[in-house]
Amino acid sequence: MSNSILGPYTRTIVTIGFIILVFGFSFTNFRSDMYVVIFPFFEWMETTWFGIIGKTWGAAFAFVQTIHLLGLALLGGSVLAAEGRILGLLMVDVPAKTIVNRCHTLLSWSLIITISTGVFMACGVALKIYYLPVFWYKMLALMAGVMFHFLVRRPLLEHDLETINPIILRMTAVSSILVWFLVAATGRWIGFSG
Amino acid sequence: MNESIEEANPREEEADVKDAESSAFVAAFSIIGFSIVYWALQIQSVQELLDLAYGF
Repeated sequence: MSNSILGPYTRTIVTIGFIILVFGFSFTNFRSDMYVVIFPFFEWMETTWFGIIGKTWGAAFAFVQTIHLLGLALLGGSVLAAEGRILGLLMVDVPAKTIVNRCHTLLSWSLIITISTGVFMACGVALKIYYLPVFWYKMLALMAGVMFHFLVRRPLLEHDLETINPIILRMTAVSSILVWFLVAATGRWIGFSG
Repeated sequence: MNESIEEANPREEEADVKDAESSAFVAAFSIIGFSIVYWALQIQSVQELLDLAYGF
């Protein structure tokens, strides 16, 4: 039935493996070992053009940060619209599949905007954020959000929504809101730390 | 031959949905569980700070 060597539950096995990997990375010494190894990379980030512009020209940093926040607003809006429709709270007169597909496109663009502007901003304050635990929480949450969206949620919602178990559909919607809420909350937390 | 392919496709589709569903269940369960523990700990730490600072 399945061409994969892992059998018919390939995606599930990969998901479980990935969750074990993330928790293993977060709660073992491997994380602190990596923390030391990547320090020179953060030092180098501050010496790049992005780092120099971000540090010396406050207006440029503020301009890029504004785009970053607008991208975050777009991301939050697309998540709330899609998950709100799946949960039956919003726009119930529009087919769920239409909203889910359009919000997926919006979310993909908003991710491109937030990640590219985020890299610029990180260069300007690289050594500051390196020492902030909340920055690392955000990176883990962002990675979890991206993986969840593209490797779990999207493949599930590509199928006819009527054929999917409604409890799993709702659980997916709630987790999507929670994971992106964590990304946004830890992102704003960076602004109030250090 | 064609009949067996036509029969196999819905079965393959069904298996694909089951795999996507179970993978989503595992991921959603982990995220919801983690979020409950994480935010409970955050709220508890804020309560402890308020208690230290203002005594409530």
